[in-house]
Amino acid sequence: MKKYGKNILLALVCFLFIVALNFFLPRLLPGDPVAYLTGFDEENMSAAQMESYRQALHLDKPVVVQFGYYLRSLADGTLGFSFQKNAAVSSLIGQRLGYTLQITLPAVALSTLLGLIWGLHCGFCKNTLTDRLSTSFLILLNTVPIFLIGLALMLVFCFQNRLLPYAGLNTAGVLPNTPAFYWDRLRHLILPILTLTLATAPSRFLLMRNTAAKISAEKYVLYARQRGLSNHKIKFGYVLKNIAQPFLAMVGMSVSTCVGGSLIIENLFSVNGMGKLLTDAVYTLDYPLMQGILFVTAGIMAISMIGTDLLCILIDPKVRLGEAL
Amino acid sequence: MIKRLFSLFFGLFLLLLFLTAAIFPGLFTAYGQKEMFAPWLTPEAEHLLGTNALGYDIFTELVYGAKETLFVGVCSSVLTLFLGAAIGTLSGAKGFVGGVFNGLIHIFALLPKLVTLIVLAAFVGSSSWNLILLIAAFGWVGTARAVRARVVHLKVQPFVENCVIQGYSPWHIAVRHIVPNLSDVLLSRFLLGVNSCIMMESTLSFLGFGDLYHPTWGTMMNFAYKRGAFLRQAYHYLLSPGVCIMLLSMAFFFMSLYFERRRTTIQEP
Amino acid sequence: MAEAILDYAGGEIRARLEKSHKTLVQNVSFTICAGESLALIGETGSGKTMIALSILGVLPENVGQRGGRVAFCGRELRPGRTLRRLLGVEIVYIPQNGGEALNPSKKVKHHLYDSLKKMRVPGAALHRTACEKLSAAGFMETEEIMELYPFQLSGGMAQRVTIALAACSRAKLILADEPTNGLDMEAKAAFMAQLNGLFPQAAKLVITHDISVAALCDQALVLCGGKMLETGRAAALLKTPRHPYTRALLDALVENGMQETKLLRQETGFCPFYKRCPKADEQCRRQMRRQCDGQVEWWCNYDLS
Repeated sequence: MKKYGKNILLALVCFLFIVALNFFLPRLLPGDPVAYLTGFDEENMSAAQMESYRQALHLDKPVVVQFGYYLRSLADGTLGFSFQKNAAVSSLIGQRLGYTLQITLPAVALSTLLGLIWGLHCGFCKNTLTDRLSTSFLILLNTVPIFLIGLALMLVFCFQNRLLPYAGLNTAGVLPNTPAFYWDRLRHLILPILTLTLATAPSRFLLMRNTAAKISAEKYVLYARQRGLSNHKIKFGYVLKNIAQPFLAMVGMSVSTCVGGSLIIENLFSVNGMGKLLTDAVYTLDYPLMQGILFVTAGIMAISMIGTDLLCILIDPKVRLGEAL
Repeated sequence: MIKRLFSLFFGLFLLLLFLTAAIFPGLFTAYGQKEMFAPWLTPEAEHLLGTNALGYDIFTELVYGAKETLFVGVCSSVLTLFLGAAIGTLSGAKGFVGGVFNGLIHIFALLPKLVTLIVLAAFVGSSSWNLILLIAAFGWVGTARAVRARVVHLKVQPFVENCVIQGYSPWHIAVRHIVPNLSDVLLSRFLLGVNSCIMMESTLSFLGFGDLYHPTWGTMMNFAYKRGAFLRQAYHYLLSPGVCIMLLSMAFFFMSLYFERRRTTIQEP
Repeated sequence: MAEAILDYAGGEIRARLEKSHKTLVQNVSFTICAGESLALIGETGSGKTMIALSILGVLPENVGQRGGRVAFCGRELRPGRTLRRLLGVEIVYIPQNGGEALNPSKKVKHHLYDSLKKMRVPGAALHRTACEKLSAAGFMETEEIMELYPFQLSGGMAQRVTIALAACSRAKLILADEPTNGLDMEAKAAFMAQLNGLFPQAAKLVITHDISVAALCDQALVLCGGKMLETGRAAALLKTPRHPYTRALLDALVENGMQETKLLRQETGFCPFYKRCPKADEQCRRQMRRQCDGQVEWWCNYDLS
C-alpha cells in the first residue's frame, strides 16, 4: 500500500512541478513577461497596448497574487487565454483533444497488449529460436525512428499503392454519423495508429519479456513444472498473474510516451489534433496555448499513472487482505 | 564470444564511417554544402542521391549533416552522463540527500519529455547549444537509474563497509571507491544514451524545432517533407536521412551489446 | 519381491559454465522398490538436488545429462511429453521450502484445483476433494485454509500444503527435498510416518543432509562431491559405517558429540573426501575400490568396520 501511495504522490508532484514551471518560466526568462504571455512581439505593440495587456494579465500585482489568478484560470477551466487566436485555451484544446485520443488510446492498447502476450511467451521460453528471432527483430525495430516508420508506411500504402489516405481524418463529402463516415474515419486512422504502435511496441515487448523471464526463473514456476502442469497453464496462471502489476505500471507510462509520439504522427499525417496545435502554437509563438497544452499533457500523464496505480491496488491481494501474518 | 565481437566490430565500423564523414567531409564528397545545382534531380552518377528543392546535392548534405547530428548527439550524451552519474550517485546516499535526489529521479521519469522539451525550446530558442542542454536536462534519467542501482549494490559490498568502519568520509568513499566501480555501467549507458539523444534531437528537428543554421539529418527530413518530396516522389530525399539515423543508432546499439556481457536479459533502451 | 519402481543409473550430469564444464554428479546409481524409502544423504553442493531434477526432467538450462539410464516401472524415462504426463500423477515432488514454492497470486484452493485437474477430477468434485486432501495433510479448518493466499501461511502450513498437493496424486514415486529441515527427531519421525501413511505403496526418495533421517528409511545412499561413497540397507549402514565419510557424518551429529572434520590436505584426489579423510593415502588420489559385503556397498580403499 505504501508503495502505491508513493507512486501516486510522485505523479501528483510531477504534475504540480509542471504547473509551477508553466507559471514561473515566462516570468523568469529574460525579456518582458508580456511578450511571453501574449505572444506578441514587444516592438509591435504600442505602449498603451502593452499596458492594457499587463493589466489583463495581472503582471503589475505581486507574484503571489499572480499565482492565485493563474490557479484560478486552471481551476475554472479556461486554462488561460490565447490572445492570438482570441479564444480560451481550453476550448481550443478541447476541439482537438478527441482526435489525439483517437490515435493515442488504440495505440496504447495495441502496443501494450502485443508487448504483453508476445513478451510473456518469449520470456517464458527464453533463448529458444522464437525468442531469439523476436528479440532481435524488435531490437532492430527499436532503432528505427518513429518518423521513418511513418514515412515508410505512407510510402507503401498511400503513394505506391493508394490503399489508404495519408492526410487528415476525414474525406470531404462524407456525411457525419453515417456508417460510411465511421468507415472512412477508420481508414484514416489505420496508418497513424499502426505507426505509433510499431514505434512503441519494441520497448513494451522487451520490458515484458524481461519481467516474464525473471518470474519464470522463480521457484514457484519450477514447482509448477515439477507438478507436471501444462505450459499453457503455467504461462497464464502463474507467470501472467505475477506480471500484472509491472504490466499496469508500464501501461501508465505508455500513455505519456504515446501522447508524445502522437505529436509526431499528427504532424506527419496532418491530423488536426493537439500535437499539431502545439507545433502551430510554437510557430506563431503563442505561449499561453503552449502552456495550456503542456498542462493538459501533464494532466493526462497524472491521470493515467494514478489510474493504473489504483488498479494495481485493487488487484493486489496483499493490499486487499492486509499484510501477511 | 565471436557473435559479441562481431557486433562490436560492426558497430564500430559504422560509427567510424560516420565519424570520418563528420570530420573529413571532403573525403566523401567533392561538392560544397551549399553548391547549387538544378533542383529535384533524381539519383545518378554525378549526384548519388539527387538534389533537393534548392538544388543542393543531397549526399553532400547527408555527409555534412553527419557532423551536426553527431555533435549534438555526443555532446548532449556526455552531459547526460555527468548529470546522470552525479545524480545517481547522490541518490544512493543515505538520509535526506538520497531521498531528495531519488525523488528527483522519479519525478523527471514521469515528465512528458517531448512536449516539455518543445515548450521549453520555444521559450529559450533552439540553437544547437540550447538543444544540447535541454536534451541533457531530460535524458539523464535512465543513466541515473542504472547508476543508482549499481551504487546501492556497491554500498553493501564488504570493501565499502570496511571503508565506513575505517572512518573515511562519505565524500571520499563516493569519489575514490564507488565511482571507479561504475565504469562499466557508465560506458554501457553512454552508448545507449547517445542513441536516445540522437533520437530526441532528430525528433525535434523533424518537427521543425531544430537549429536551422546547423542542419542535422532530422532537419533534412523536415525540409524534405515540407517541400513536397512526396508529391515529387523524391523518396530518396525523404528516407535517406532517416536511414542514416537508423544506421547510426544501430551502430551505438551494437557496440553497447558487446559491453552487456554480464546481462542475461536485453536491457531496455 | 516388490517391483523396482525407480532404477536410476545416472551417468554424468554436467553444468556448462562461462568457459568450462563442471561435473556435478558422476555414476550414481540406485534402485528403489515399491513401498521402500531411500535416504539420499549429502552435504550442500553434493549434487543431490540435481539428481532429483534429472529424474523429473527439469534440469536448469545450462545443465545436461550424459549417458545413464533412468527407468520408471521398467520403462525408460527421458525428458519429454511422456514424462510430463507422469509428473503430478505418478511421480511427485515435494519441494524444500513450501513458502517459496507456492504462487503468490493464487489462493491455496487454486493450487489444489490445478493439481486435481491434472488428475482429471471432475469439476463438481474439485472443492470436496481438495478439502479431503488438506485434511489428509493434517489441516483442521480446511475451508478457511482454501481461501488463503500463500503469504498468509506460516512456513509449516505452507509445507503441509505441498504435502496436500502431493496427496492429490496416485504417486508411485515420491521425491521429497529436505523435508525435515529444522524439525526435531520426533517431528522427523512423524513426518516420515505421515508420508508412509499417505503413500504406502510408493517408492520414496528422501533427499537430506541429515544422516539421522536414514534411521527412518529402509535404504541409504551417501553422496559426496557428486560421487556415491556408500550405499546399502540403512540400519546396517548406520550401525557400522564402512566408509570414513559416513563415519565423519555420524560423528558430526549432536548425539555423537558434533565432532569436526578438519581440512587435512590441500590437493584434491579422485575420492571427493580425500581432502579431509584421516585414512587417505596416495592411492586414494587415483582410485576408489568398490567393496561389498552383502548388505552395504562402498567405494573406498579401506574398510572401517
